[in-house]
Amino acid sequence: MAEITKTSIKRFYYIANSLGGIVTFGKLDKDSVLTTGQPVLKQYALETELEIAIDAINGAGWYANNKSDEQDTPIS
Amino acid sequence: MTKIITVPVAYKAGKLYSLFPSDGSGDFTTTRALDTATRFNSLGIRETVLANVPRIDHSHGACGELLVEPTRTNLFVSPDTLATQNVTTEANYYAVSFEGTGTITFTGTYVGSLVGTGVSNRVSLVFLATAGTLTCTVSGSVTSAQIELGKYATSYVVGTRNADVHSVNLPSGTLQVKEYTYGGGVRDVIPLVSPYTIKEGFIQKIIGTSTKDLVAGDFVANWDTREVSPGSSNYFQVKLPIISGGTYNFTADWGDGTSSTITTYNQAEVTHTYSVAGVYTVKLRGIINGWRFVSGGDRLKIGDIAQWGTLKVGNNGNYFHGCNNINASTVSDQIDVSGITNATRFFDSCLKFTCNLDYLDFSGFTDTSYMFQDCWLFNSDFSSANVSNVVNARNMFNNAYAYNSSMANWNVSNITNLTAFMNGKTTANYSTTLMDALYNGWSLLTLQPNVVCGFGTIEYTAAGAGGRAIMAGAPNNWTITSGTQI
Repeated sequence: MAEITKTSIKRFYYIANSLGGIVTFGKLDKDSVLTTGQPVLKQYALETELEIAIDAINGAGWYANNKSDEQDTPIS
Repeated sequence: MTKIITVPVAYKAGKLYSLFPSDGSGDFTTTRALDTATRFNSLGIRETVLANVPRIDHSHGACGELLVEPTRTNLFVSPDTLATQNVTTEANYYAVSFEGTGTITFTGTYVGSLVGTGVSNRVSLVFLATAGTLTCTVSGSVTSAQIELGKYATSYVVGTRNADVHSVNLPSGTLQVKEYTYGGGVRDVIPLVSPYTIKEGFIQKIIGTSTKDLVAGDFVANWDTREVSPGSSNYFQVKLPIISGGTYNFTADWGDGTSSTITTYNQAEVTHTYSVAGVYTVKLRGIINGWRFVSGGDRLKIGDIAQWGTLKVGNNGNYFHGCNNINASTVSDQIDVSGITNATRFFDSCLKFTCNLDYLDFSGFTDTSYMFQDCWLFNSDFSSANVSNVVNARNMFNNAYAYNSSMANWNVSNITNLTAFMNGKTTANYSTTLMDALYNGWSLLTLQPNVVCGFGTIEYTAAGAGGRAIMAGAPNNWTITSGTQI
């Protein structure tokens, strides 16, 4: 299992399955925990970095269009 | 303390109702720091009433009404005899009122006009302004004019200072309403069921529900016509949220002595216009199958619900979505959810909603997504809820801060989506004991794989860590966000 454990700063992340498809993404606040059985967990310090990474997988503009619906932990 | 023996609070054809404390004291505490508050006396003449004296206002008929108002500011300069002037507005509702035979024409942040009807008649207009400058062009005689931020016009405040607070505090204990017939004595005494409130506004009705008034099967709720919002009916109206494809054959008792029979969703009577804006108890009796606000319509007008009755909301979701003001804390029956599979956004954004839904039957639901999202005050015991057919429960309790029922025994084996399930919640409103039990209970189930699950920042302990790890591990492979292990 992959985890982001009790970070001291907020972390942006996405999680993908074995085929590389985005399962979920979001922002993990400090002192929170994310645990996943999925094989891919990518972390970023900045939301812009997360957006670039996700759009590289799902296509340009996908992140902006799906930000409010697909995320697990809100990005605000 | 100020003693009021009887205060007229409501009308019905041929009858008069009066508020009366059950202890017989008739005592009310009134506060109004300044002495320039006004009222219309029984001769129709506006007059000043001394500080801390309750005002019985006669502006809407021969029968006086208790006047209760909030603090307001008159934004007009020299309002006693109004001249053309500009007023700075924000993007919000404004109420304009005046006496006289002239006209105020508005341009700029709102376009419209208000025409006077006489020296002693006070006319009013409520509108939604944009931010900027509102030009008020006066023609003819416009006296005692007032423009104020708010959705209804209050009594006239001289000058440009803040209005004083016009409040009346009810005595503690039980209140009751006495029902009179005109020219006769007390016909009946109707206990009010707590809680009751006095709503702000010109026409005052004591908003409470008499169990004596409730007829089994009726859907009974209070509606405040003044709670206007984008897409709603106007300041004097109530529009029922019935829908194309629904089945209807019911009578609407509008609470003003009139009633309508409604059989189709788009007949004119679905919207009712009152002669005086205010709060009315509306009783719907008969077949109602199809009811959804979808965060629109008169979602802010519906308030306290006294009885669910035989209301059936249909199966399209969004039933009370956006009803920020509903509360059903006094209902004694259960809402009929038979036949519903789609419970999405059932009570989404019902910020003040409380109701005992301990016995709500979840067994037919497949979609409970966003069901209690942003129900800040809601809580019920759902520990025995049968959610075995639920597939989608994302955002179900997102920002439902007061909710703290055990869910350890839930059968979540068919759920594929728990995204943001309890986001916004913390250990302060959902204990580690409950969280540990949930992890351990759910970990014993055969779960759908690859589920995303959000538990906000609710922490857990070593007692629940094992269950949490099972849920996240193979073959479940869930993704879980939560507070840390403590």
